[in-house]
Amino acid sequence: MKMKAFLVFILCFFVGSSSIELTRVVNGRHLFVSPRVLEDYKVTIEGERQDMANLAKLIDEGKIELQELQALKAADEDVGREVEAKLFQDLQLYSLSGGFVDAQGPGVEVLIDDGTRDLEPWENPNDILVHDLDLLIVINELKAAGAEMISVNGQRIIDSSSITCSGYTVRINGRFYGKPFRINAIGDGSRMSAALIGPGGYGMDLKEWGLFFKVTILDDIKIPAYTEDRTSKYVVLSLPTG
Amino acid sequence: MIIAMSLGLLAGILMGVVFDVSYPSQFSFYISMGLLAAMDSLLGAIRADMEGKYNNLIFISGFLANAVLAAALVYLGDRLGLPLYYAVIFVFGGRLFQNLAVIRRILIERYCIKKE
Repeated sequence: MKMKAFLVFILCFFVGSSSIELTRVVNGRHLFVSPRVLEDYKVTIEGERQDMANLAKLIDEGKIELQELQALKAADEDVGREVEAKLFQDLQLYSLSGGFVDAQGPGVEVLIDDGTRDLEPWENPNDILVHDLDLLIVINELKAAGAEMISVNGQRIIDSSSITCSGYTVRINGRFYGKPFRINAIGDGSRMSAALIGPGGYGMDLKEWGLFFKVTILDDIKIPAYTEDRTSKYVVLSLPTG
Repeated sequence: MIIAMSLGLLAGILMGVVFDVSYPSQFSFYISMGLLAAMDSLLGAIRADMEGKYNNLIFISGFLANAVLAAALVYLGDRLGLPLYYAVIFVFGGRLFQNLAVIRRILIERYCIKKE
């Protein structure tokens, strides 16, 4: 008799206390988290970690630059010449990535040409022509695979470059080009080639449609500078406020 | 019996409100399942007592075994990626209603239906 009452007391105590504590801790959240939510969080956390690593790197680089300049100042040497040399170094970097000078390096050369197969009765001649969208998608996939510099038919692609259809030709950076289209990209050759030719790559899709698509991995690709007009009418330098 | 029950519940709620016991949040799920098992055992004990079939050993062993199985199913389901905890919820929840129905019937028969 006593045992029963005691046991019931203990159990009710447990029920009461854990109900209150659970309500406090859980607070209406769903206890069972689906794997998809976990995956999303994992991806977000990875992205944040990358950002943090990048920021840490920037801080380190800034510190090193600061140290160098301070050392120059402290040494009281011919600071002018050193600073000038550093400025020229920076200038080289900027002109390379801005497309002001020619570049070279290993990478791939992609040749795309209209298809020459016979058309089925329901098909449109347009189906086996190279369109501006094809070039843009290939360029996008190259960039996603780590391409550092790209040129199409000798026209350097910079951030304001455009590729548009104009009848049987394509207008790149304001100039007209006809087929075949030769895309040069500097970067990891095998990676870019795999991205285009591998399963699911856009190159395979074009080939299946019947267009001519060929990727060659080369060791020495030359990409010319951007030679079109660059005067800007709207953009001004953004200065930090406060 | 009733006194023990209400005293226990009151004391538990009081302790939960007053003391801020913290535990790792990943255990909340298991404690919830243990809570469900405890509620089921409690109603089961009350029903057995009303039917005159109460046994201390069965009560304790039932509670412990159910709690262990509930926790095991939750853990297994987590590993396998299957919502095995549904089984715990459905079974314990169902038993709660079953036992409550039996208790209600016995109470009504005992106190409300006058002798014929």
